Amino acid sequence: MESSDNRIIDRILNDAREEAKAIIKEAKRSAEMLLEKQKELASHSAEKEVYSLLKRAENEAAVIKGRVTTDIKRRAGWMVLSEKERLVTSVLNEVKNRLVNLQKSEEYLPVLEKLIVDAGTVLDGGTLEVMLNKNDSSLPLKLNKLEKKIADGTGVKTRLKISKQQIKAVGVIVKTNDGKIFVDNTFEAILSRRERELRLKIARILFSRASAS
Amino acid sequence: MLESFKAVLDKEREAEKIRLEAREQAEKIEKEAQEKVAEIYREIYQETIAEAKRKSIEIKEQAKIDAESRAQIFVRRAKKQKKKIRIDAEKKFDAAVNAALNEILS
Repeated sequence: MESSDNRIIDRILNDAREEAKAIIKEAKRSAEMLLEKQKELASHSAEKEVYSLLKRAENEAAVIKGRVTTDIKRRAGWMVLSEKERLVTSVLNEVKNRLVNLQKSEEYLPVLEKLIVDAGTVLDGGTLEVMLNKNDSSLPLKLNKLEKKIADGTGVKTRLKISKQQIKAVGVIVKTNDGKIFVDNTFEAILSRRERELRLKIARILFSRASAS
Repeated sequence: MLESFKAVLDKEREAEKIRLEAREQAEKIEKEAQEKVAEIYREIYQETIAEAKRKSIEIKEQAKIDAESRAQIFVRRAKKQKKKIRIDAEKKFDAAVNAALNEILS
């Protein structure tokens, strides 16, 4: 065979190999494109669900933040409030102590008399029974003076008599002669009756902006 | 001459075989790609959703961290306020006791 024949033969094979390479290259490119397109399609299809997931997460995050903030604000408010409550209660306890101790002081007699007059006036005078504790029963109460004060206040002639029945509390209970109506002016009862009002007053003093002088 | 012609014809056959094999391989590549289409779609879809779910968890976790840190600020502020209230109130303690006594006794 001549060399020109050999060249033709080589060329035939080389061309075929080149063509084969191109065919495979094109197939690979086409396959890659197909897969790439699928990836894009999948991402695009997932977008709606992704958006919905993230939106839901953001909403839940806002709810979490709101809930924690509300809860902690409530807890913080409660901390402050319970401290105020504690301070008011400590004042009230001191008031109770001082009232109990008042019984031992000289100032007590006029206070007791005033409590009797107040109770008698509320009961609108008349014949009234005064119930005292054991200690107070021995105090030199000027019943005539008290009767007059009640009568002046109510316009009804009044007669006070010390009851044989004694109480344990400090203060007085005054009742009508028939025992149907009574006014409890023991310190305990007064405090209990006026606790709400007193707490408010104490709170106003303790927690007002103006400093104590 | 005949010999040369035969040789060319042989090589032509060989060349055609090479092309045929290449076409077969190309078909195989494309077929494999077609077979992978659904799998790739599912994989990418699931990966994207899984990533979004991870991100969702992160968002919520971060919200909790932020809220807790904010909560600590509130608590510190409340403790400070509580202390101030106590100190101020203690200065007015006697005035409050006397006012309450006055209210009861007067």
